[in-house]
Amino acid sequence: MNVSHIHVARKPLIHITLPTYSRMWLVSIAALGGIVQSAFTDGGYSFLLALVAVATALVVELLVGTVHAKYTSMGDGSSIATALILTLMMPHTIHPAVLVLGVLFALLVVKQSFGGLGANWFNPALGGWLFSYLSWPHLFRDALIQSHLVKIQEGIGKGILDPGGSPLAVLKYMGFTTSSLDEGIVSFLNQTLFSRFDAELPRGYIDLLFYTGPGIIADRGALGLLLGTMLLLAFSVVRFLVPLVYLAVYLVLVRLYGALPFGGSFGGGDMLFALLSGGTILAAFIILSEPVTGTKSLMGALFVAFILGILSFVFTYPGGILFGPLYAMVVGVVFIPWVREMETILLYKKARRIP
Amino acid sequence: MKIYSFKKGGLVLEDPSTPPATESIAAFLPSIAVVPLIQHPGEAAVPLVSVGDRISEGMLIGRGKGSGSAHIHAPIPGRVIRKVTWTLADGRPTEGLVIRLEGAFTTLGHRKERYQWETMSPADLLRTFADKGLVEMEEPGKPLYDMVREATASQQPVIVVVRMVFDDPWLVADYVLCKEHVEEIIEGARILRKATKGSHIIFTISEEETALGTLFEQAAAPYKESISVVYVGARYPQRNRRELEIVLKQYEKVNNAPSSYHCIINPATAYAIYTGVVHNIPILERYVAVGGGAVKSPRVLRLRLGTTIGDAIAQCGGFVSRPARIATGSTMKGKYVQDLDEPITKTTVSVIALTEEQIGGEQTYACINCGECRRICPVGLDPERLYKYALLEKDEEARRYNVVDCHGCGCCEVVCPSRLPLSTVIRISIKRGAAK
Repeated sequence: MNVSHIHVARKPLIHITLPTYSRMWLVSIAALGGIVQSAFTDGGYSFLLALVAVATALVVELLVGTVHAKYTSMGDGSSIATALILTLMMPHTIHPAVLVLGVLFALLVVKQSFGGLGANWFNPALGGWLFSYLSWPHLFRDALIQSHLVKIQEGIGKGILDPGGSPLAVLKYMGFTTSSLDEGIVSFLNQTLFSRFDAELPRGYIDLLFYTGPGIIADRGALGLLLGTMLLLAFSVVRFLVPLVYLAVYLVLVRLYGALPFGGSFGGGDMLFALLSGGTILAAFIILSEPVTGTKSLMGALFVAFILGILSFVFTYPGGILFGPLYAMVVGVVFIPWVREMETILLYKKARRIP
Repeated sequence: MKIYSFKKGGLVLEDPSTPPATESIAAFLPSIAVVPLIQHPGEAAVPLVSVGDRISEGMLIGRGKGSGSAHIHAPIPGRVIRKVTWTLADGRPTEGLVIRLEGAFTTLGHRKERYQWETMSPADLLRTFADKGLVEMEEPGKPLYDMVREATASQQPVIVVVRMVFDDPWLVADYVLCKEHVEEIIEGARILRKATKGSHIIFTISEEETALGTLFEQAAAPYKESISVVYVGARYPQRNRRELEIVLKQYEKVNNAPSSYHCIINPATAYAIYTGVVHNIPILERYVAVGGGAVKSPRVLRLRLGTTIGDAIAQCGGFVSRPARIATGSTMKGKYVQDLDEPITKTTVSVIALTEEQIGGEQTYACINCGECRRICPVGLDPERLYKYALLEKDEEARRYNVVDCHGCGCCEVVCPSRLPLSTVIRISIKRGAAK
């Protein structure tokens, strides 16, 4: 490399980490895990939505590449990852046109108008989701009206409370029954595992893991998404500590105060329910760990994870927002530039000397 | 056994395509040697011979010109048949003399004489360093004369530090040299201690090489000089001057030693000092690791300077697959060679024929702010920000973020998933900023 009279040779000569496109494909595979699980129980509609989203993303990238080749990110797979993450945030019965418009907004406005991959300050998938939700709230409401989360809210509104503070119990009062699969697996686990510790797993969690009712695709594909996140952790695409801190803060708060809205007492909250619903897994492992709109340092990331864990709880439980963790991510992303500036001042700007 | 190590960043490097660290093999003598007149950071040596001249082995053929420049000697006897020029990977033009092997060797195969350096004064030793064209035997090849002058001008007690820190697998040639020439390396360090009027000699050895450390401790025991073996971490870039200074200061603090100037050399330089002063022979050959995924039988060779890289690879069985790139130095701090006719020089630590798989792809992508570069940077810099400033030529802004502290270890670049030339571009920014 030669810049006027300055002589510098390119080095080093090897690269030892996964390239950007591999990371993007791994994120896409993780997202596909949730989508495929959801598609099994809705006649493939979730998969069709994903295909529409990906096709839209490819067309956008082709167009951007035609107009301004410099800004296209066709080769790095980031647009496809964005499209699939946005699909996960959508109700599984949403009209494909809403998703198409969401992808267009995410890629053209949130991502490309700021200069493409790496230059956007807001998470494109979150941007696309917000845009779709705020533009067509009635479509979202209609799609989710029969979902377990809405039914729980309805139940609480009607004054149905459970002394144990369990949202699953409220669901039961609202007419939801557990499936035979749940019955079988929970019975088996209780007999073989939990009985050894004098404990009993309540019915309903297996149904949450294999949720087949109306909801966002991330909740309907909780197991597939969990398996996908293992892939991300195994390949170090996601720093394990960040989602761990987020989930620990969120779930501990749920444990302590999460039973109160359902008629329970302090310390009786249902952590498993919080983990498997409201887009928590998606928020923890994919959105929170998205690097472009993330912090600069691990310390900063842990700080943000801690704050967002609190916000997720506040939005979901006292706030009564269906997808509190996803809202927390929206709020968090807005504050990230400020956190980055603080990190710069505290960690990278001061003069360093050999101790 | 206390291990001294720098605190943050760095990485553990492994490479299965390096030669085995068992023994060195004497390479065939080259029939044609290409001797560059620049094997140091300063100006090119002034050629003292012309095309057609007959020259003898070890004859002075290029005179160093000022600070940063060193004498060049003929590695083989023969006739100068051509002057050639070519461009190095960093864009610098260079010229060299092509020597065809003819006549008899005057040192090779002859009994080596032994000169009593103990009676020589530091000034005499310094003159000998310059006469023999001794330089630090790795990039950038700083003349030893300049290093000693800097040490003695520091007004601090001088400690000679031999860095036997093998944090990079491509330092295997140095490792084999250390195993095969323990006495000579110690004697070279003792000579340098005398030349610098130093108070102490420290052999810094990687924590994993305790057997080597024991060898040096035992071999150094009979000498009256103060000699220590200090074990340091094996995480790259422990060997860099900054990281080595950190552990040396830790060592001084633990031992209540006064703060000192560290004259740091590598074992190949200590060996060159020994050969130059004790046997009165300039640098004519060196240990070179030849390997990489594309080389059939990676080996540590004892190669005459001027041997072409193509010949060196041929002596390792040639290629087993098409190399994507060929480089000298190491995978972290080396540089690509432009063609196989480039020669082995005083600073060639290794020759590496890299496969596409080893390189790990060179297509660059947009920065995704993954933070790998910040996590790995041993200095604690923000390479992403510095890289962006460098691209925008905001060198003054980069200085505010301590860009001058970057010592170019390349850690950020090697872990960048977007394959951005972070370290390289930041180096440009530093040089450009300094030039303004």
